[in-house]
Amino acid sequence: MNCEEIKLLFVDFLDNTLNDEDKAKVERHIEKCNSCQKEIQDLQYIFPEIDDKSIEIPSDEIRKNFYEILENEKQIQSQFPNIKTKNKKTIRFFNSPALRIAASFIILIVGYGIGFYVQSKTVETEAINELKNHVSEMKQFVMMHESQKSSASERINFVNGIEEMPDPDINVIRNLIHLMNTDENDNVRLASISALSKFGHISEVRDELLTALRNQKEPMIQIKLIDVMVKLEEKRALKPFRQIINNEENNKIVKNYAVKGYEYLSI
Amino acid sequence: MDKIKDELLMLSVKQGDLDSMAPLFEKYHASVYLYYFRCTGDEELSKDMCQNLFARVLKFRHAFPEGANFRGWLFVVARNLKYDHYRKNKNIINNTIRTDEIKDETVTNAEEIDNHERTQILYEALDKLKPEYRDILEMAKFEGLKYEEISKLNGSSVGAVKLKVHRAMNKLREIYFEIA
Repeated sequence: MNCEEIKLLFVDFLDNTLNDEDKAKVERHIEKCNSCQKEIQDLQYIFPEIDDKSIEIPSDEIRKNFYEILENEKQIQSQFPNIKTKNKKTIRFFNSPALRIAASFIILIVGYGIGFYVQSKTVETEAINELKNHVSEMKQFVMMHESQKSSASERINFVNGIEEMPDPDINVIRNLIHLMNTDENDNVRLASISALSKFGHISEVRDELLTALRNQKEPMIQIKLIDVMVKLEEKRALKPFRQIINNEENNKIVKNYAVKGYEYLSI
Repeated sequence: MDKIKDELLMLSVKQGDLDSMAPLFEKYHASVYLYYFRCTGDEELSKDMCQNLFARVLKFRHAFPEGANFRGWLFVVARNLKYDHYRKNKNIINNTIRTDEIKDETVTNAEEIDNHERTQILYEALDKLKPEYRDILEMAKFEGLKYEEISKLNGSSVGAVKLKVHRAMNKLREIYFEIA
């Protein structure tokens, strides 16, 4: 074994987790090689050996203090039970018709300004956009291939990659919908929902998220979907929220989320 | 399914049922204490930091994101707390030794000073590492995660994790001896 190969064993050697054969290889090598010997000594100095088994965990003391902190926090909570009431008022304020009309005017004026500016720049940017589209198409093709991969972590990487794309192709998004509805791994489904929530402006995505809310039975997934519906301010979710609240089979925490979501969307 | 249970408990805490924090504390306080002990080698400090961490989690319960992995989130908060502590106490550690640590006369003062200095340099060097190296070293050396566990969290192969840990250690070694 050369130095580079031996060095890859150093971390395990220091943690004492190497098998006898590899351990002997490292020991033989560092006897002859000064630079590797120096490296091992340096690392031993930086990370002094700590034997976890010999460490006594002062659980009783930590526990006593933790429960005191917990009681304290509960008292604070009972003194200030609903900090969020303020937020509701703020939402109502911003929902007032006069403000909405004023906002529409501002958007109209800003939109006109942007349109004028963009038009003057169109010719210059056309070529660049064409190039960008080409690159984006290639990236999407590669990503579609990635989504077929077998390991869950690879599929999560694929999903996270889509999230960063400003304007992915509808087929890529459909791939994401497919993963949300059918993937066997909870974490892949959760990541897909997160990514899809970024494309809530597409009606197909909203419809699919709503369907998923009706069909998914895993508590974490249900909570994530409720959260997304609230953030997208999707009023059509009110009915499925009611169904979740009334269904006795649903988890208590999921129901609480649905109640809060219902309250928020019905303001 | 064990993982999912943790997340549901934390979401319940977030909704206001603070007693749901108790099973999470019981499950994780030992690993958190070990994490701090591996980083500092100091019992009192590790105990304080462990308590502070759970106090912080309770206080900032609303910051737990829906869909996040609880263990991952807990250790990110744990790391931030450790670096905050280091930054706040940088000058104090530099100039003084904590009096409560000289009470055991069987341990020489020189050894105590040496341990503190080494811990301080280690923090400083870790702080200067680029985040991806720092994170992987935190997981491999201090959180006590196995390569397989890191590879699942990072979505890369075990071989790639090993190589990255090795590179991170080398870079840390370089920075450490520049400071020391």
